[in-house]
Amino acid sequence: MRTKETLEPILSFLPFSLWANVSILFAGVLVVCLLIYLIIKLFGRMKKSGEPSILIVGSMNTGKSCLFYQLNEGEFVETQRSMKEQEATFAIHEKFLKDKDPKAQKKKYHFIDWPGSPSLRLRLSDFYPITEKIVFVVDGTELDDDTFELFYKLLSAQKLKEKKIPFLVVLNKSDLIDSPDVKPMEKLFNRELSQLNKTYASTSFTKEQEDETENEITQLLDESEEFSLEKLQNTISFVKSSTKNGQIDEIIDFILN
Amino acid sequence: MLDKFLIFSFGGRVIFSHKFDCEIEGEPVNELISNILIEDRTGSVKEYVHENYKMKWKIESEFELVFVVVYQRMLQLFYLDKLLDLLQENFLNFAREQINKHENPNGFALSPSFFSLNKLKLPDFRPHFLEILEQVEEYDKRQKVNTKMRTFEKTDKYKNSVTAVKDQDGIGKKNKKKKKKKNQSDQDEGSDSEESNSESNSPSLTKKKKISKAAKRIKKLQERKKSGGRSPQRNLRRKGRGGRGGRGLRGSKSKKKIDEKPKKKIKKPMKWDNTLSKSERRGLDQGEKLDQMQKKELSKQNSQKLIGDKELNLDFSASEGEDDEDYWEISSEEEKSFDEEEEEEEEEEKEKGGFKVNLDSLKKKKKSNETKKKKGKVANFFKGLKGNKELDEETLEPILEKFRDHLISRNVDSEIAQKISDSVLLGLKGKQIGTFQRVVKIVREKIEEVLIKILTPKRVVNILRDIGISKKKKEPYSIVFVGVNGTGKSTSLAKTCYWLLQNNFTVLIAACDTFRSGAVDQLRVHSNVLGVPLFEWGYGKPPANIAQKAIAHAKSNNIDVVLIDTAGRMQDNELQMRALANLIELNKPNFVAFVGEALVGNIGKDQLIKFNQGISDYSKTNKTQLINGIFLTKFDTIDDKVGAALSMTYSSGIPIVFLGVGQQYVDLKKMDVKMISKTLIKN
Repeated sequence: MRTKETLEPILSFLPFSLWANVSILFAGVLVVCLLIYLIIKLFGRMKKSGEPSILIVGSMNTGKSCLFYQLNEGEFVETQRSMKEQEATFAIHEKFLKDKDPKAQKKKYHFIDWPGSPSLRLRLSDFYPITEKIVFVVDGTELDDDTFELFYKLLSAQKLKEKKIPFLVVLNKSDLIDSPDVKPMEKLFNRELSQLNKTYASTSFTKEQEDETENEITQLLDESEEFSLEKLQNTISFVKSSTKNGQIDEIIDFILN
Repeated sequence: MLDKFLIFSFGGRVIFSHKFDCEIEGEPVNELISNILIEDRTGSVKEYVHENYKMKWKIESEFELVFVVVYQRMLQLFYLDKLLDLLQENFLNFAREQINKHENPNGFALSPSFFSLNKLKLPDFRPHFLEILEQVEEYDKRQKVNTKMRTFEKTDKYKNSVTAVKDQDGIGKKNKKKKKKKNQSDQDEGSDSEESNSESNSPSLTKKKKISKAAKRIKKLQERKKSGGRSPQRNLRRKGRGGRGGRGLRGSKSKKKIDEKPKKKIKKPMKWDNTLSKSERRGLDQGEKLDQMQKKELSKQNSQKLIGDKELNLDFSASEGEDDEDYWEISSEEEKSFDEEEEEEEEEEKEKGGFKVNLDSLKKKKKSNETKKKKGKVANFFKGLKGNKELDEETLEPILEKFRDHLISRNVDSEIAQKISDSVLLGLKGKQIGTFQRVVKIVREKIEEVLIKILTPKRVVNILRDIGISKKKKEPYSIVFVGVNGTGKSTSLAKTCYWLLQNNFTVLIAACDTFRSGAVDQLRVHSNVLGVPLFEWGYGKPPANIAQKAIAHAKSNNIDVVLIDTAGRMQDNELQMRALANLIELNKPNFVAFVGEALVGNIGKDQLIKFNQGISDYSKTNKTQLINGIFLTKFDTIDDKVGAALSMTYSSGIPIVFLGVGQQYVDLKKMDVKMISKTLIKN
């Protein structure tokens, strides 16, 4: 009853009975909160969400962590197999930006270095929503099935397809003698991926269960037509590099543009 | 004597490395990372061997650092644990010092990114490292010099010989027990400072076990004579109560106690009703964690009163030579210290009698831990309010206990649950968490992470792609289905056939199960329904030859895939395993699929390991085809008890390729790692 006494004068400006007034006030507060929330959400969406994220992926022992440290510190750092992903936001080391315009020198990027081990690959899909570009590092001298499987998996990820994320295939370790050139590698990729394409036909398995769409690998192109990387929605380019010697200029160009 | 020392971060950056005189061949540390650290098997393994190198490591989870020392496999260095501890401490202090020396100490904080991104360039750690190494090596040398040679009475050979058994001298017994206890704890630590020879641990252990077995038998005969011909079944029951083999041994020691004290002439019956005194009741309660001294005291008192208990060997908690851990806890270290024969014996005993007792004590332990947890919760609540909490064993242990039991209830092997919880403990120890973060949530996330890592195959298995490659080479791709009886090999074969037909490959079925009645006919029915040719040669013919001819037939007729069905066999049957190894060696199949049931529990892991071992042991060449993948069948019958999948993958490292979820042709699904790990964790 005390509450009633205290509330009555406050809510006297509303025409209806006391409890109706209370409920109207309550509803009013809720509506206002909802409006504020929606505004913030919209506002947030319009604004650009911070620094662009660049995902560095690839099979094991290809030089991803090495590339990560080159971009950050400008020198070769000895690395072991990564057990965990590394994320950091930094501007590319000035060593590589000497000829570029000063704006580029200040721009920061969010780099994500993902371990190459297959066991750690499942959570990679969590980073798809924020990824803007993908640097796919390959060891030209030691290609294995895993490389192509991973590449196919990335290409077929829904979220990456939608955003038409550009891929850069880096043929690392170009300082080694038997490192191949870009053209033969393009052909090899085409061949291997077309093989994989056949194995991921939609009739492969019954789809009764709820599939995790992030990790599901779907067929990229119809089997009837000839497979070609150019037919895909994402742009794929091939470059050579040597993270050991710091020859990563083409990678820098890809990142900056 | 060391080859290399490394400090690196989880992300891969090498923060400090020191190479001793020789060059390292290959990349042993990378192998260590791939096989142990990534899969978080750190709890169960203390050292890792790869080719000629042995490695020991220490993980600093707070700053995400790993300290690894690499040395020659042949060597046995016992100061490494101490060395790693000292180096870890020292390195962190060194880093802190450097921060403080810097002009702006507040700009830097010790964190994982401090090391991995090299925020502050640290000066060379080398002089500190070399100093510590020198100190530890010196200390170790001094330790070795001080040890004297044992007298004959102190050696195990004497202790386990007949003369020692006959010898009723109490002093000799006491020393013997102390020695055994010390040896047990030494084995656990991995050091053996009393043995001056360079024999490795395992041969000497097996010797001890063999001698003790002989001594055991002699004792048994003697006791039987004394007791006036007790039935052997009585003795069996005695053994049965012993549970695991180690207890059996200790049980026999307590038998000696009875022989020792001739005062006890009266045999008092076991009291089961309410007339028990408190001390007597405690004496019966095996699961409570008592202080070890208390236990011994009680046992001494009880030995006067309750001789009946002793004869049934229930009084394990009181026997000497007991380690500090709880009796019923299944310790992975003890498992390692017994050779295979003993393990088999243990299993027999467990199955006979020890099991019931185990479960009861587990429940009791749960209760005692629950009360502990309650106290922990209140304390944690206040701790949490203070500020940044650091995770330590006290807070983590009860939560991990709960998760362990949960995993076991989901049909995960208890050993494996223990190993996983050990690694999680090591991984989270010392980690700083925020005020409002719940510890349970963090532990759950970490466990899910670990489970995903374990279940995800290390190499992607894409059979269709491999078949495509074989097709180009114009060779048939052969898949052999192996497994124990009744797991669903023939059905899985039929399902696989259907799947391959859907992918437009031509298939040939080879009926190499010539033993089971109806096996060939069963496959004939499948071949008729699916419309694929069946290659069979009736019953009783050697399977290896049939497979050979089938593959030749497939090659000449340009058939893409050959599916080979084999007879079910037990993993322990040497003859059958030999036959299987022969079949695989002769035909060199592209894919060996082990078909296992999801219904089975711990035994499934055993089956898989022994099959794998059998195939490699009984083949004549060095490099043989091992099992490539697992077909886990009858998955639809287990609801949420999916633990068998984890047990099999964890113990063997072999990926699960397919799941059988029904008895129709279409009931074949690919392994969904996330789904299984979520099911395992779900409350």
